[in-house]
Formats: sequence, structure tokens, C-alpha cells
Amino acid sequence: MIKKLRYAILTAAIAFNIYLVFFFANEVPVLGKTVRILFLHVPSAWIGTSGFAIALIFSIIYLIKEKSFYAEFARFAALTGFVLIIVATISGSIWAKLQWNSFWNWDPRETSIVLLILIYAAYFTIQSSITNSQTRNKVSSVYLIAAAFTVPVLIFIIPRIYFSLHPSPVIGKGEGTALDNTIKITLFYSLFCSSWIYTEFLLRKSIQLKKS
Amino acid sequence: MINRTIKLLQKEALVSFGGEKNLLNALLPAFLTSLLSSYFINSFQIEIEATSILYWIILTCSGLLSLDRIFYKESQDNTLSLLLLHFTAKEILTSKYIFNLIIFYSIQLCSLFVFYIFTPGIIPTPYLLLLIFLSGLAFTSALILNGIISSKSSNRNLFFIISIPMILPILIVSVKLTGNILSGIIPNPKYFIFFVFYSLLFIILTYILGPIILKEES
Repeated sequence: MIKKLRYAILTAAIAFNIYLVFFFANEVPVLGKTVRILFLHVPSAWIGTSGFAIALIFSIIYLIKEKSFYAEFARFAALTGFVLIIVATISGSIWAKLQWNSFWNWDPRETSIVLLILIYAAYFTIQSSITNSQTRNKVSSVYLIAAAFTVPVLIFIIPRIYFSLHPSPVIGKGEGTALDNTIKITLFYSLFCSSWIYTEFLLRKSIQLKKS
Repeated sequence: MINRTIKLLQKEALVSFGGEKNLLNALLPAFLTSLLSSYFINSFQIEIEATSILYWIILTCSGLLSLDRIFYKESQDNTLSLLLLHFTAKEILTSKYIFNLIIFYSIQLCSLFVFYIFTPGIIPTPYLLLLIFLSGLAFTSALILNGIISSKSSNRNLFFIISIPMILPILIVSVKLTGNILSGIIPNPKYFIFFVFYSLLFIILTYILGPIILKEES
């Protein structure tokens, strides 16, 4: 009963999010209607990065407790993170085509996201290369921890070394790109909704894993 | 600790260069590709930025080729568990780290020497030498952990698949910095701090996580 009610509230929240994206958020002078891609691009990047952070936490727990549940959960979090980062890359690429007239510009942030995708794609290669499950879990957990520590380098350091086409503080005041209030509200609400959906996914997966 | 690490270093040199593979084999790819690149740079008047790109691609490929066997021999012969009976995981890691650092610096210096002799405009300034020193440190630090990880797999390509994305940030900064140095621009110290940070990050990760995988076999 509580579960059904939770899903009903979530469905209503998603419907309200769609309303905000298409009817509430104002168009921006330069970006026009394309600004709506922001509500897919930023939440998918945010949830994707969160997935990698969860994978890091569960990999550490696995190395301490050595229970396969934690390694399996870390793998699921890494997989969802990987898929969502690809979604963020594709949506960003479409936006780049509309705004900068090219799908790919080798902007530092674009370069960083490609490296991130390659790093996590390698994780799945490790998974398929080692047959012994205990060795596989340990090696892949170690790799996930190492990979997670390169994420801040790729996201925060590399884009600041080169000139970037991306606005520096996306949600900021003064020197950064000052966003319209309706866009800020919609963006934060989209982030909240996507985080909620992702939490539901993780809960379902943890129940599934515990049952198996 | 120091004496035991030196003993392991001697063993490393014997195992790596005593048989079919020797130091010349590690240096030859870098020497030949640098020589070929110098020829084409002079023949086609290639710009200094392209020269720095070529130099770093040569170094990355030669470095990856020479360091891809870290822990591979021990893993193949199942001798790691025997080694762990006599030495601690940290001693083994230290010896591997020093040995591979020596190999990587040898490749870097060999390539730089060929470029210096055969390509006008390539001058080993103190900044360039500092860059070579710090980037070598960062490259080796990132590759040791990947070597340990890939030694547990039968897939020989795994080392390249997991290493290339992790060393690309070093390569990107190195190319940018070399271009600046060769053009006479004084580099910003933040680039050098990046190398130190990246090296430290991987050294810490290797010493914390490396023993977990090494002991997995024993």
C-alpha cells in the first residue's frame, strides 16, 4: 500500500516536472527553446556522477566486508552511472550542434566526459576478462576506487586548464551565466525528481540482490 | 627495507633483461620512431606544436609497450605467492615502482636525445627537463596500479584498455606544456602542480589498494 502510494506520488511529481519543463520555464534570449535540453543534460550528468560515487562507496565496503552483494551493487551503480553519462554526452552534443553548429568541439569538458566514459567502459572489460568471481570482485572494486579518484581531476581540473566554451558557473550570479528564475526552479526540481527516480531504482536493485 | 628493495630491484633487472628481453628492446621502439619523426619534421617543416604532439605520442606508446609486463611474469609463473613469503607487498611495489621509473626515464631521455640531435629547435631547457621528470613520475604512478590489475586477467590487451584513459590527462597537459616551452613561453606553475597531484594520488592508491590484489593470489 505504502509502495503504491509512493509510486503514485512519484508519477505525479514526474508529470509536474514535464509541465515545468515545457510550460513554466521561460525561453532565454540566446539559447531560445534549446534551453530545455538543460533539464535532461544536467540531471543525467548529476545522477551519472552520483552513480560513480555510490559505486566508489560500495566498492570500499566490499573490500572491507568481502560480501558479494556490495560488489554487485557497486557494479549496478557503475552501470547506471555509465549509461546516464552517455545520455548527458548525447544530449550535450545535440545542444552543441544547435548552439555552436557542431556536434563535437573538443571543448575541455567534452574531452573530460569522453575520458570518463572510456575509464568506466574499461571497468566492464575487467568484469568480462576475469573468470574467478572473487578475484573479479576484488580487482574490479579496486579499479572502481581508482577510477572514482580520477573523476574530480577530469571534472574540476582539466576543464580549468584550457579555454572552455561551456559557461563557468552554470547556476551562478554576477560573472557567470545568470539564469532566469523559472529555469533555476525547473532545473532544481528536475534534479530532485531524477534523484528520487534513481533512489527508487537503487532500492529495487538492492531488494533484488538481497533476495538472490 | 632499503636492502631488501635493492635485492628485489636486482631480481627485477635479471628477470626483465636476463632473458629474451633487454633494455635495448625497450629503448629501440622509442629511438626508431623518434628518428623517423625527426626526419619527417625536417622534411615537411612541421610546426613546433605538432612536434610536441609527436614526441608525446611516441613516449606514451613506447612507455606502454615497455611497462605492459609489470607483474605479468610473476602472474604467469605463479611466483608472486613465493615472493610474498619473503618480501612484503610494499617492498615489492617499491621495487617495481623504482624499476619502471628508471625504464620510463630511459625511454624519455633516449627520445629527447634523438629529437635534440636530429630536430633543430628542440632544446632541453630546465623547464622541459622538469616536465619530463614530473610527467614520467605521473605516468609510472598511474601505470603501476593498472599493471597489477591487468596481471590478474588473461586478456593481454586489458593493460592498454585501462591505462590509456587514465594517462590521457597527463598526455594532454604534457603536450600543451611542451608546445609552450618550445615556443619560449614560461609555463604556469599550476601545470607542474597538476603532475605532482596526479602522481601522489596514484602512489597513495597503489600503496593502499595494490597489496589487496597482490595478496589475492597467495
